[in-house]
Amino acid sequence: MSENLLRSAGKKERKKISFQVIQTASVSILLIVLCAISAIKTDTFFTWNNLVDNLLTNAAYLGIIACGMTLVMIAGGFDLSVASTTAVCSVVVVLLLQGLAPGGFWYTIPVAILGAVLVGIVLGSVNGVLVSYVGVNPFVVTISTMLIFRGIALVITHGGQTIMVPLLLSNTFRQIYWGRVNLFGSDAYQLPVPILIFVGVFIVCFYLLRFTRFGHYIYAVGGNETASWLAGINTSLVKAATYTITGLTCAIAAVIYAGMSNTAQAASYGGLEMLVIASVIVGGTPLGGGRGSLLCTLNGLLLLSVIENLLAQFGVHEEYRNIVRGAIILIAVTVDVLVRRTRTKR
Amino acid sequence: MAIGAVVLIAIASVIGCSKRGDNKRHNIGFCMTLDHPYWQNMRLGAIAEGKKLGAEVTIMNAKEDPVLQIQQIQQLIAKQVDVACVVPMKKEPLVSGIQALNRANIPVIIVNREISKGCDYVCYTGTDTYTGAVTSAKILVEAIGGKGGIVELHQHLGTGPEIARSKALRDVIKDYRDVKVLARVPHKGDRGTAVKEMQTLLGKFPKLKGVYAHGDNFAIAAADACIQAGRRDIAIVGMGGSQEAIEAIKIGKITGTSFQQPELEGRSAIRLSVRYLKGEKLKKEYLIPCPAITRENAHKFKGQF
Repeated sequence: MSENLLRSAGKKERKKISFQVIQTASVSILLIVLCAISAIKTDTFFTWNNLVDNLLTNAAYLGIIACGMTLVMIAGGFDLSVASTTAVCSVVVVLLLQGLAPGGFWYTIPVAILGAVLVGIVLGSVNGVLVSYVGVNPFVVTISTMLIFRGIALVITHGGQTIMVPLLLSNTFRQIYWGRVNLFGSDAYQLPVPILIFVGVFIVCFYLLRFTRFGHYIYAVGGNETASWLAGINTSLVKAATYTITGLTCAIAAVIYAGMSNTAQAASYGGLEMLVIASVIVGGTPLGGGRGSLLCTLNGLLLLSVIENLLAQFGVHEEYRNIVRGAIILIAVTVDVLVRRTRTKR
Repeated sequence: MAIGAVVLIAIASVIGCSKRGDNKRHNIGFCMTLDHPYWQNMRLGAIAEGKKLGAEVTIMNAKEDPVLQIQQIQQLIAKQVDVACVVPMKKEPLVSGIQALNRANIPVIIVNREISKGCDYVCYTGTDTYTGAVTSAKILVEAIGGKGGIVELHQHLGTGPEIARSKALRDVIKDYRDVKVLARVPHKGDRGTAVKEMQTLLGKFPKLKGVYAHGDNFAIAAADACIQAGRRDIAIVGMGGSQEAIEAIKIGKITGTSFQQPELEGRSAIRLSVRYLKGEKLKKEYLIPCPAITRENAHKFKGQF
């Protein structure tokens, strides 16, 4: 029974895939056009320094959270609390580093990271339990936990002070963000660590979504929750799990953020949730769930990052930036809708 | 999709036109924040000076968030600016950002706020907080006739401006044996609290002669409390020179203040950048003076924030 349903869900998905291809294609074309324009207009766009050290590195930690968010949104959920979760985790990792500093590098740093990851998982599962087992609307749950988690971060930093990684550890810890791995055995092409971490997270999530039973359950729950439940899927568990995974990805991103500035602040990362959700939606995963994929999210993420990069490259004045950002996202989504409409008319 | 592409290209070319590739123009990045009129004026000063000197200035708004500011610094590195002027949002976190600029061999000019040790920069330019505070302290001591008890309303303990302003007061009253600091009260943010604190102080010290406030905001709040208590004889000085404070000085609500000039800070940063790019050797510090504002000269000043 359950397999039958899954198979039919799979078929449904295959039918819609043509739409998904269109959306992916429209975002990709936009991406290519923007890249081409910046390449022609500026001479600093197509440099290793800009594309890898700047664009991809800054996309990486956003992308790590977006991986978790994609799972949540495919399952039909929504998570507004990611910025606050990230704030709590980054504060926790720095506090643990401070507390355990005398223990030496090889003990302190892994323990602190593990601590932050555990906190991330706990915060994520709080969201998950409230949404799936208690049954509160995900928007309401996560907007409340957004405030609560931010409050927790403020409380444990005594009102939002900047807390610093101890000097003893800072040079090692900062490598999580600033570290570089030599590519092709030369110094000219170095790959920043955050990108490697992102690739790791992406592959794991991709495998989870595409090749495991759990991944298929996520699509099924997002497509039709009641049918999936009737088919014997533990829908609550699946939904709760997606939120927990998002909490985990927030923790990973938080550690990278903490390494970036060697400090943590409770008030940081404002607006992060909107960037993450925007990259998922622009990529093509709809708000209702049931469709979408991580490759779509990657696409959307790259588009947003390229826009951001372009604004800096062209030196657009700060006050105009939000308008350009909004306009380009709107175009990406509108083109998709228009194409879809003409398709269905035929 | 074709329509979309056309619209896109149109928009993109509009963006593109905002900058024409003229390689000889100096390209200066300015990392700051814009959430207070103070910064707005600094921005206007920087842009105006850039126009005058033929340099292109890219303003980045970090919204008081150090993490965002480091990302913006990376964007400036990728853009390969010639000089980066940075107002560090927080002094410790930004060390990483400035180090990244150092690695990319982009000269850095620190503006307005301090940065912690561990990174290199060409020079610092900003308001001379200490001398400005000395100016305010001198106005106060003069106003109370060189004797009597005063109270100090200060900012968060241990911040750069707080230390400089407290030191300025101590240095000035060293020469006046009859001036006594009766109390030092930290401000806890909003004006309402400052008013309450001032009321408590008025009750506690009936012979109070003067108030040394680490900011126009608290000075005005303190003045409100004094007026309410019928104590118009108390001399109150602030620091900053906001338009509100200047108006308050004109009507005699507060005694005086020292005038900070964000616009000059922005201009100075850009001017120093251009001088550095022309190969001039710069000093480590360029401080911008804060002239005194009292009732006599208040009409000559126009608040910059």
